[in-house]
Amino acid sequence: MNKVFNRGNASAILTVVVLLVLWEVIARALKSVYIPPISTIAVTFVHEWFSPTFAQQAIPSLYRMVVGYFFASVIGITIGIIIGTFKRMYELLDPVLQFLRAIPPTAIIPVGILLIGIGDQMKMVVIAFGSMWPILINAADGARMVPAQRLDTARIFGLTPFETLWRVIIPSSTPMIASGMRTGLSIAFIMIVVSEMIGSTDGLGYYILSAQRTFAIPEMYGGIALLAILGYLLNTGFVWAEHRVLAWHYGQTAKPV
Amino acid sequence: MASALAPSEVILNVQGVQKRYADGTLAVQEITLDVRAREFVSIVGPSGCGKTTLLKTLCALLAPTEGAVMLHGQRIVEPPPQMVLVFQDYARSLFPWLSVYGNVMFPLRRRKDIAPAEKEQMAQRAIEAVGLTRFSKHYPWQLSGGMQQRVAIARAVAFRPEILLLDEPFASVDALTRADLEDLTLQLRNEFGITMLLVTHDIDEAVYLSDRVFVLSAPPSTVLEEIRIPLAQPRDQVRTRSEAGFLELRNHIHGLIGKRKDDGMKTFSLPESTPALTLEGETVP
Repeated sequence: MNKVFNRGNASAILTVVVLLVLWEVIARALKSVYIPPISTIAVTFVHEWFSPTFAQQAIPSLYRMVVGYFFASVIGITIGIIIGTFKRMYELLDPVLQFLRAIPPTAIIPVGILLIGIGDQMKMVVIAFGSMWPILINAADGARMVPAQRLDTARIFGLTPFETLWRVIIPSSTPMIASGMRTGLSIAFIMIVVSEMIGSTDGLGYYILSAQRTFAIPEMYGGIALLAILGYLLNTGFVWAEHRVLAWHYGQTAKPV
Repeated sequence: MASALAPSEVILNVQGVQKRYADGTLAVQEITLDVRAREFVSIVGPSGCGKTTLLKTLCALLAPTEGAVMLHGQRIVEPPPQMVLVFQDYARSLFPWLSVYGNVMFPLRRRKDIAPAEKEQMAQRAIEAVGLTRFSKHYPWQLSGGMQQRVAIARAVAFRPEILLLDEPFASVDALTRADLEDLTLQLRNEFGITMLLVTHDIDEAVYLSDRVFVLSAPPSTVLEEIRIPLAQPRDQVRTRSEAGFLELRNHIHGLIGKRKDDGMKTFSLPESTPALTLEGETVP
């Protein structure tokens, strides 16, 4: 607990408070409908999100994101490890992969709508497609860069190719996979908002856009604030889990031999 | 003075092994040697004489371009379970996601022929033999270099190989740790009856540890000479290294390799006929 409330955190919290007060003062001075005071936004935020609206708008977004991200991880890790393990396949597919990953993920949303329609499936597919690339590319690099001596060690002890994959190549690649998954998570977050703004009847992207269109300005800001909080919690949760699962990796890099 | 070991059967037979890389470089020209059961054999040569390549070829990680490696009369083409190689670079051969115990258990886990309780016992005994019982729950990166190399040795020993191949295993540790590890390998040889085959560029180390030393030339390598080391057993860091025979042998090898260290020590060559340097097996080229 001491760590959480140390001096660094205290001054960081102070910075946030100062910024919020500044917003309040400036907004009240401007008297603009488009920039409501932070206190108004806060009241609206509590009123909106501590109500069934959360279940109606935020839960569908999170659900689509979790499903899309899950498929992105499974497909990305599987294909990435396979490509990284077989050198020949890597050489063959690398240019194609580099090209596909260069497509800004949001650009494929129209393709998704065209092929699948505007339902939940389309959103899950475009989320999966967008967030898959960093996971796949990182998994491939991780598998490709396993130190030769680790593979030699596996051969010395007579491991079969499958055992080598499972007990040496995959564990060796986990730090790279995790960093790909972290990048993938933030892409999934962008994809959900954009896909819900384009074709949806619920979700946070839809909520923010329709709030703006109906001049429900404090609601619009409240929706953005909720996205920021969710994004922060997701990323923090991910980093927390990563440091636990990959304690060996962080211990090793923190104390170089 | 005779070797303390009674003559035993030849278990490893290296017959005219040549290794040429894909780019045409000849790393190993022609190596013929044999290793007897429970013997400590060293291969010394100048730095960059293809020692690691040779060792990898001996345990079939690399295929020789000419010649053959015979284990108990059988030509080996895949790393045989009777041979384990310990690398110089322990940091890259240990698995950082496994504890010391996990690393030592790593090769045992897949052995279906051993009962789980017995595997555990084998691992613990190996960890104890290298003096790391207190650290078995630690991760390799929490240990010093010398301790990490002990883990690598324990992992190899727990697998109960007949022959342990050591690729300059003590090159990246400090001098005191090095002496400890040298004595550890001698002790393990006695305790587990493992045959040791060491490659090193350190002549003193080779003489101190070995029953026989093969001296290699600069690349493309060949065996320059096979030398019996008739020093008293058990070896002792202080006593053995100050024996007259020790100095004669190390100086003779220095002369062969043609590389004198500027350590202020008087270097002299011995005539080929010196009795202390009995040649064993005239088949050596």
